[in-house]
Amino acid sequence: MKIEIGKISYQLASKKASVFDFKEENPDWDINQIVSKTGVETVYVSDENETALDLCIKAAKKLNFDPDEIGACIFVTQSPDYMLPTSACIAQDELGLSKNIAAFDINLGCSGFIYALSVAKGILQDLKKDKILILCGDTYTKFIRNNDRTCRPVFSDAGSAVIISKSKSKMSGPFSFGTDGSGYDKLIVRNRATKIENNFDNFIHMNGAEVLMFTMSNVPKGVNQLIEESGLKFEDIDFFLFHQASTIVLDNIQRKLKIPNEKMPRNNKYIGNTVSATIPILMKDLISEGKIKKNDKILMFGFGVGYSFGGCILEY
Amino acid sequence: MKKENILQLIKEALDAENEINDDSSEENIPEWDSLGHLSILTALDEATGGKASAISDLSEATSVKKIFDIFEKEGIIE
Repeated sequence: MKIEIGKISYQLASKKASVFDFKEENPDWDINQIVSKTGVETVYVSDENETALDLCIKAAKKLNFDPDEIGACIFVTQSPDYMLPTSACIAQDELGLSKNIAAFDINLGCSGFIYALSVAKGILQDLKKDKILILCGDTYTKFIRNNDRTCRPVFSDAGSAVIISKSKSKMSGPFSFGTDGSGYDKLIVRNRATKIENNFDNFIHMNGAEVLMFTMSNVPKGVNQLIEESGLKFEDIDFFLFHQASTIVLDNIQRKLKIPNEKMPRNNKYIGNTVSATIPILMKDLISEGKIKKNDKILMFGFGVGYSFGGCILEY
Repeated sequence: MKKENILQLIKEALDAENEINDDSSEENIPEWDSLGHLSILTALDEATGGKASAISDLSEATSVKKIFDIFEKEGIIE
């Protein structure tokens, strides 16, 4: 089964915030130093009543797609509206999708879009229809303390929507995946699901140094393995779309892989780290700007919370 | 690597005002905060040709002594 990426849209959360303004509440922060490392100057913060599902629904409605063509809805999120039911089921109804579709969530963060692509590729052969809607959305800012210097200047809320369809000829793979659950507590939100840990709060906590080391030791290796497996040469890849974690992380990946600037676009400065939505958002912007063109070979790689990572090479 | 090169590398990574010596750590170097530590890790990885990023203990090595201990164990220090 071959797949191709069709229409993409996204919706940023309603409140646009300058990271420089966070200093008002946190006078001890050296904002210039923070921004020099993260690269993020603007983040989008969801309102109290604005959820990842809301953002993804808005993103999907911008696509102007025919709901009857969709055979499955996959929702990647770690900030669902409810413990149950599954957000994808609610999306089916709100988007007027057929009742004869598969709808399910994937609980992954920054690697999630790649996993959803692979699952979509697999499930398409069992569907009566040729298209799948992938929604990626999160509202991590709801989990962040105002004085969290590691997470607040980086994470941003958004939802994205992508149509995947069967293809006769597009290169759609290889895919590669990785997991290291020993790092589960390096980026974590406790006490918001079923496990009660009285010694911890229920805000997000990230160990930036550990996550950076995980990234540096796994992502470049994973990228090289993907290219080798594909039979392509490094220079055959037109674009490397990485999860937009932060500038220091992206700089290290770029340094280790020696990727030229023009092949490794970024938008974290203006949008922040929107978790699983970063790759679809980046891709949408590059398509809109006319940079990504049909038949370009694109290597995508998501990595982070879990630890989890996934990558693939697709032809647009 | 030589120890003095590592000390210089840490000073540059932190853009530290004070000299970095064997007793320097996050406790006594103001620039050695969590963000500064990321710069040190990056610089060490670059200087070791990528060896440093494969040493998971390094992420918690927030003193010169700990970095020296790890690098000696790994055979990176001459």
